[in-house]
Amino acid sequence: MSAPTPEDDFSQLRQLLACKKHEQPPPGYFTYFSDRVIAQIEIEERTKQTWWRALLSHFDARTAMACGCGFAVSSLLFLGYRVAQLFEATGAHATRLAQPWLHAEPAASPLNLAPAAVPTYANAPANFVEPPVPSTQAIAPDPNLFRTPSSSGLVHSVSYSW
Amino acid sequence: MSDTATLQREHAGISAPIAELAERELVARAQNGDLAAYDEMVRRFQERIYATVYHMTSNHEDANDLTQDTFIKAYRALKSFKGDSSFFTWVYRIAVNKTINFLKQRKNRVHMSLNDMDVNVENNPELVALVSDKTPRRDAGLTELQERLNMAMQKLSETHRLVVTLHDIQGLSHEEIGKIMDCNTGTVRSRLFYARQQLQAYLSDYLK
Repeated sequence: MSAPTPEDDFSQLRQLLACKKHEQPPPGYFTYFSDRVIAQIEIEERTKQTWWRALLSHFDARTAMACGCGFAVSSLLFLGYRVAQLFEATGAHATRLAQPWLHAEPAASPLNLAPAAVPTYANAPANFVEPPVPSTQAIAPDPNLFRTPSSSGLVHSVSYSW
Repeated sequence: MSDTATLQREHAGISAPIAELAERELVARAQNGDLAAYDEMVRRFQERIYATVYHMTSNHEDANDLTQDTFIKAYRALKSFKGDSSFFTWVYRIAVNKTINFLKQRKNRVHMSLNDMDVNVENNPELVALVSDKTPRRDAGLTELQERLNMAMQKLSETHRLVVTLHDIQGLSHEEIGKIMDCNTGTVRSRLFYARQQLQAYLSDYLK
């Protein structure tokens, strides 16, 4: 005698569950079921086509051409502007690389320092003579120093008298 | 001749050669947009898919909508079907996923809309005897049993309900169920065992 299997334990339950196999949809339900599915699919596909057609119907050829030309011209103008901007930026960069001193920041110079305080002589005695202020004017060089040589040559004749 | 009869005859005339085609050929044709081939595929599987969804939801209207949606979704996704599994398994998987998602959204708001029992139930002597023992009136007993069965099924989790539906009601093998539910046969057996245990507890009035 064999031991009862799990299937045997649930044999009555399975008999009850078999009852559910007899639950059936209304008669004729499946006759046109696939037709309804196919009709739904066709409607969806037609809706897609109609959407495209509706979109296309808004554009007639002349309007589309005018829009296309306008767009092309605008694109070219914009492209030209962008190219010009690009060239300008490239040229400025090249100049900066070639002549860096043109764009260098000036270094701090001792001439730019704050001026020294001017001495005051308020408490000086009566016989005090104010010293002259030293001239800050540049000393002009001797004009002969940068004189152009004479056309006769570099050696000039010098006369001496004793 | 009535319009309905003409339509039926025309329909039979169109589908006759297609009905003889193998599943693989039908799939290939449907993938190329042949709706007649897809119509034949729907006809082949509609009853089993509907039954699965119906036993999961216990509601005819929901089952109708979900079964239609399943076949429409399957048609849209048909290009992605590579033939690794049978079309039957593939479309079953779509139906099961759709139904489980629907049940999760519905949560515990169960509204049963049960189909009538067909006349063949009277020819099942074991079932009739089982019901007659418990209730004096056979008709009332069958209706009551149907309601109790569906209520008990709705108390199970979705996965347990699915295993019982596919195995004990639809007669699929553990291997087929494993492919549909994407799990191994051990898991299927264990889920089936626990689902039956719970059902047995819920239906103890009817079981000796």
